[in-house]
Amino acid sequence: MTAEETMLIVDDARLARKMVRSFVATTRPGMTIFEAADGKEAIKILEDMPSLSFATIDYNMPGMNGLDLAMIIKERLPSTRIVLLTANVQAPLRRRAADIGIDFIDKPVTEVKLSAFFNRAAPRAADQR
Amino acid sequence: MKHGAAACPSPKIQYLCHLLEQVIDLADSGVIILGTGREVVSWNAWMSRHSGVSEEDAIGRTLEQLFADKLAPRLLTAISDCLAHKRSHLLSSSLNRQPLPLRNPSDQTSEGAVIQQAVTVKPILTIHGERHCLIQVADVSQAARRERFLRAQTNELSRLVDELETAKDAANRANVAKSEFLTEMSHELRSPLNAIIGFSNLIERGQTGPLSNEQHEFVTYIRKSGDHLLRMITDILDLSRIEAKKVTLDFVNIDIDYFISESIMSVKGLSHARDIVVSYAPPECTLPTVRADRTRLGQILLNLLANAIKYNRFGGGVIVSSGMPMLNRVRISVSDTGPGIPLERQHELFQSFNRLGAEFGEIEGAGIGLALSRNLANLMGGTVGFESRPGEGSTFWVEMPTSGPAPAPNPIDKDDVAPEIPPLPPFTLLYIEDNPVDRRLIEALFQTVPGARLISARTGEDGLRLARQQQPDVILLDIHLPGISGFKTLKQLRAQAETVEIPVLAVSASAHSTDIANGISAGFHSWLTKPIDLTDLMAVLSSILADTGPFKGIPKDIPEEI
Amino acid sequence: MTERDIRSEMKDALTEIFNVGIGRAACVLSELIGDEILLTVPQLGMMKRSEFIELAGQMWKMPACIVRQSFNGPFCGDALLIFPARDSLELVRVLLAEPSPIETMTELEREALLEVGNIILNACISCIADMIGHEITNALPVYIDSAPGVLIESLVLAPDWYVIFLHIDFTVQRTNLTGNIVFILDVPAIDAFGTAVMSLIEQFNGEP
Repeated sequence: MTAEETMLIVDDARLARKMVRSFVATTRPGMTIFEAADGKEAIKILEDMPSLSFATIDYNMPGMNGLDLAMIIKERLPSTRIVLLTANVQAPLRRRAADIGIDFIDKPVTEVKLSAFFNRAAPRAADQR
Repeated sequence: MKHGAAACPSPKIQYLCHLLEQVIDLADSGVIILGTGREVVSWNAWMSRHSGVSEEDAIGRTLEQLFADKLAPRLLTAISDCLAHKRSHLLSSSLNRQPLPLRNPSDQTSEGAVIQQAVTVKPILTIHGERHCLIQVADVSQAARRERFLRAQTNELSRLVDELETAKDAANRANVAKSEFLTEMSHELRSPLNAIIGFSNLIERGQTGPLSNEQHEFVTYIRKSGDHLLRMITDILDLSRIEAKKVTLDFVNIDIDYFISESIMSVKGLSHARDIVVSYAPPECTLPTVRADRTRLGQILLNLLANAIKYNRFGGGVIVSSGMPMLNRVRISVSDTGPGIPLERQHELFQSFNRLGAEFGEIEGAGIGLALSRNLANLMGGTVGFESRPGEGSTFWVEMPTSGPAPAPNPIDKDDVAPEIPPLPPFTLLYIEDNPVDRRLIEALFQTVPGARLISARTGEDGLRLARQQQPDVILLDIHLPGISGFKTLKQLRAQAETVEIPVLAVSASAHSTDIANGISAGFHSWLTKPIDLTDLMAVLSSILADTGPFKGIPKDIPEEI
Repeated sequence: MTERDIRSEMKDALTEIFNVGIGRAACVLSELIGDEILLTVPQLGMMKRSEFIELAGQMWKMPACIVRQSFNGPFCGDALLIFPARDSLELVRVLLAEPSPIETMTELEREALLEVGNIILNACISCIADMIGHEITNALPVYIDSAPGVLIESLVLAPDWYVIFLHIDFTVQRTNLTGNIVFILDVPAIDAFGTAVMSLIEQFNGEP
């Protein structure tokens, strides 16, 4: 909720990125938002960033899938709260996400689903500081 | 269905509603209608019968209340979507086990009792525009059972097909192995036969000294038996070659009339011995020539003739005739006065090694003649067939295609007369052979040829040395030599200036056409097959010596002298 | 925005909508068969009837299996799921996990394929409805066995209609299969649909 909060939105669909951005603007005004269309672009953006508060990552993207990208971010910036966005929330994927400690949002994204993520994430993010 | 009827106002609508209620109750499938709040508003007789829940108990309750967790979650999702968004859903029996807990009361078996269902969920609207949900349940148990059965049967069938194919492969492999074995065996048998036939022939001709009558008779038996054995081995080899598709044919035009007379001549010995008259009934008109391999067609006709004589009664008769059963076909028939072939055994006639009960009789044969004849005839585009009347005799025939529209007299026809071998000029022959028996045979033969000088070597190395030293006119070279082989020896003979010009004849137990072709292309003058036919050998020698003669050095020298 | 930008925005939005839709379908299917299913939309195209007929002529030279479902709402049309006949047989057998030597699809297998079509097309339709905020209803699916030419003929609804054409890739138990989803809309329908999708895009375009 402070001005230093940063967020990375990774999705190959422009519409999906815009939707997330628009909901973030209403639930967490003042957030600095970065966008990437795929895993490669996301990693490039992260290279120059000392920290990242949040990341929403689409699961189904060309090239690297969302889960693999999430693991890379977790390794580089362990305090980042990550949520995986997909319409295909099958049990095995849910388990794999839980294993590396990331959240889930069933597509399409809504304001309610996103604010639930922020509510879950905020206290934990505070703990780690 | 009392629920719906109460809502019908006018008599006409009441009348229709009454009928519709019956239609729904009589339906052969389950019909459920859920109201806006998911409660059952209609429940037909089929549902009562198969769910064990009566209409009275069902009305007003939700499916969850009626069946708790026995419902498939997908059915509940479908109902929600249907009521909320008016979307239709289909639940197939294969992907959904028991959407509703239904059993068939009339089927007492544990398996049959469970009903396989295909369920559709569709939105319907009430007269007031409220959303309701229509659920229809079809019993597809019968179809499921049928398909399970079909699957099992098809599985069994494909298993059987697999088994059959395996068995067929095994049979094919066994057949190939048999053919290979036969080829190998007949090859091995040819070598000792070379000695038996060769030596007995020499003795029979009196070339080793005068014989008593008895000695002559006995040695003739030996030679004839050898000949017979060789024929059988050749037949077996031919049959296995045909089966392995390795036979090569040399098609020429053949004048049948002359051909038949010739063949009859060659079985004279056999027919005399059994006091059988072989007569020829010439055709009514001149027949066109046929297109066939001369040796192979001869083999077929000789086989038919020999059978007609062998399986005849003593003092019986054989009639050979020829004719055209149809356009472009010439048939040669051989009729005998034998016992005939019983009807029930006629189908076994063309099987290899089947002698139809003659196995234990005195008549010699391997039982492959007819099978071989038929295979050979087929290869040449002809057929072999027969008619037989038990007790009266049999007629076997071979039919071949004619040569074509303009049958030209074939000069080859007259070539078959054994050419008179002119006396040979003096010459030296080098025989390179490791088998002492074969060497001895040739030595014995050449003792009787005036002017011939024979030198022999046991190995290729010795042979090469002798060839350089002695400068023979002809070299006879065995292919299977210990140490350097016949082919290598030939190569070295060709590599040396002193021996490069000497004609070399190959001697081998292999009569295989590819071997022969390889030999000729390697540079052998000709290829002689063991057992060596003495007449053939003399003919080849004669032609070589006439070409080059013992004066082969002279033509080379002449240009230098002039 | 230029015409081209609009087209590109539309395509991006539709790809996302359909990806979410068939993602949901994969979810339902995987729960049904108790195995993981991957369903993706690698390609999407919008085309006129004539372009589609040309494409269809090239693509379906072999007999095809079609699951067809009509839908109704702010715009009406037909949704089709099309597989080459061989692939549909394989898909059903992989889903049912019951290898069968029978060379044609049985009655119950056909019924199962219908359900798969129903799940996929429903998911796509419900997703479009959710995103654009309108209700879209649909009827039960029907099954069509089609020779290549017959398919095109059976689709001729009106002289002018538009087609949204998608490739979908299925991955089930290391088996990869490809099918196609085709949405057929007439001119009023495509206009209404386009307007709905554009307003969805506009709704989120306010932000920088």
